[in-house]
This record gives sequence, structure tokens and C-alpha cells, in this order.
Amino acid sequence: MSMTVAPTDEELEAARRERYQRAAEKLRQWSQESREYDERVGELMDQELKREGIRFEECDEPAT
Amino acid sequence: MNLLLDTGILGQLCHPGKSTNQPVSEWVEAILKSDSKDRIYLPEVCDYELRRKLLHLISKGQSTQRSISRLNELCELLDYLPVETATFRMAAEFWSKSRSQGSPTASIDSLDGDVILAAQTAMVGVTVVTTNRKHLSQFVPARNRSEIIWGYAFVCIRGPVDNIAFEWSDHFLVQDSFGRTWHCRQEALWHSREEMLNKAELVAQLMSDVADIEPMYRKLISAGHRANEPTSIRIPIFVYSIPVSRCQQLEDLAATLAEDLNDIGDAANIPNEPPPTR
Repeated sequence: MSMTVAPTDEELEAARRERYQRAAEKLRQWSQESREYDERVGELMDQELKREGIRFEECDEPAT
Repeated sequence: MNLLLDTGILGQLCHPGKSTNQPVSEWVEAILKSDSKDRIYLPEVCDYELRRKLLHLISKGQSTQRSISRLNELCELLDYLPVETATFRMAAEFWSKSRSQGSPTASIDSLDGDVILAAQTAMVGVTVVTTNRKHLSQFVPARNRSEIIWGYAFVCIRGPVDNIAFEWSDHFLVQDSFGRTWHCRQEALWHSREEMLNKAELVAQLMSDVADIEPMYRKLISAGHRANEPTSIRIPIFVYSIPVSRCQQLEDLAATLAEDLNDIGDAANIPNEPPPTR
């Protein structure tokens, strides 16, 4: 029979910090690796989100 | 301050190489690298909203798996917040309330991601960082990225700056002589005391004890900041960070700063110069 020990708060916090450090490194890496791709796809994403925003505005309606 | 990322912000993080997304990416990166206990939540509903758009773009041949892979990595590395039954029940309350008040966030036949996001935000009691504050702020604390401030940098004093190096951007980092990193945002010189105090409400409790501020300030003054001559560093800065609970000390420092500015002449003569190009 095996027993598992729950991680302590300190261990959880250390793991979170380590995850965040990796996330920061990823953001830095991505920002440098594919500018042309990011410009193109990022722009398409912006357009899609704006399109949804416009739809919200058009759909505002009075209290019911 | 714990934060929750809206879909727009998340989409920008998945494409940080886009020039207009870089300030957002650098801002989040700075928070992630800081030594604070602040959490950054990635809500499941935003994962869904962004993922479906990316998949649609891929199906049209306009994107690739790269964006999805990045989204997956962020889901693993940030604090992922799943949608639970209690979330949907709270969302239903928000939906009903917004319609009763005449401020719905989506069409009547829509699932309405905004109220689900608001419910996810409320469940963990945080502030949502969004590009669409209008719809969310009726339910939960919602702020644009530029409204979330970790500190102040006052562009106020000419002269060389010893022991401080800084890298300018919309949100920028300053390293002081003690090796600490300050999260800063530009502020103009001529904010009134009232404006400063109002903005102090937005200062997070992230940084140092107020006792560190005055020695730094004195050091800047002693380094020749009363001199009016232009120098190679055109925008030296005065940096401090004050917890909201210390507003009186902020007021005192503002008064001190005003006196010193009087000493060097009319403050209005100091131009609000643009940041140096990097």
C-alpha cells in the first residue's frame, strides 16, 4: 500500500513561482521567434474580437 | 493584486511578436518574473473563446497550430480557472440582473461569455484585465491594463541619475542601487496632489516599505538634481511606491517634492519630454 503526502503550502508556492518563471520565458521567446506570423494572425484575432464587440453594441436592448 | 485575463489580453499574449501586443506581453512578463505572490488566472471561458477563434482561423488556412500550442502552454503555466456549476449559477444571476437593469452584455439568444467571465472573476474575487471594461465592470472589478499601476515614476528632475537604471516602455522597470526592481508607469510632473491621491488608490501593495523612499529621494537630490543644465540623461526620474494605506505619507512626500521643485524654479518650465528612443 502506498501513501501520498500532500504538498505543503511552501512547496505549492515554489511550484507556482517556477511555473510563472517558465511562462515569462515563453512570452519572451515567442515575442522574438515569429514576428511576421504574430503580426498577421494577431491582426486577424483583433478583427474577430472587434467584430464581436460591434455585435454586442448592436444587440443592446431595453430592460425587460 | 491578483489578476484574471480576459480573452483579448490572452489573444495578445499568444501573439506577442505583434508590435501592438508587445507592451501587454512585457507587462505580464514583468508580473510573472516579480517575486510577489500575485496570481494570474486564465479562466476557462476565455480559453474557449480564444480557442474557437484560433481553430476557425486554422480551418480557413489563416493560422497554424502554433497559436494553439501557445495557448495550451499558457493554460498549463498560469493558474487555470475551470468553470464549475456554481460559476454557471452565478452567471445566470448576472445575466438576469443585467437584463433587468437594461444593460445586457450580449444578444438574447447568445450564451453570453461576458457574464460567465464575470462569474469566474467573482468566484475568485479578483480584478479582470480586459479590453472591454464596459460590459464587465457592472458585475466585477474590471480594468484596462493601463489602469493597473504598481508604482509611480515622476518625470520631474533634471540632472544625472546615480544608481538607477531604467528601461522605458509603457510599463517599465527600474532597478535601484539595492538591486530591487520597481514596476513603474510614467506620470507627468504636474499632477495635482488630489490627482496623486486618487491615483494612489490604484497602487498595489507590491513594493517596498515607505522607509526606503526618502533615502532614495535624498540621493537623487544630492546627485545634483537641482541643477537645470541639460544632461545626457534627459528624463531622470524620481521613483517611489506607496501602499494605499500610507496616503498621508504620499501627501507629505508630494509636499516635499513641490518645495524642491519651487527651489529649482517654475515647474512649468520643465518640459514634458517624450521618452528617449531605445
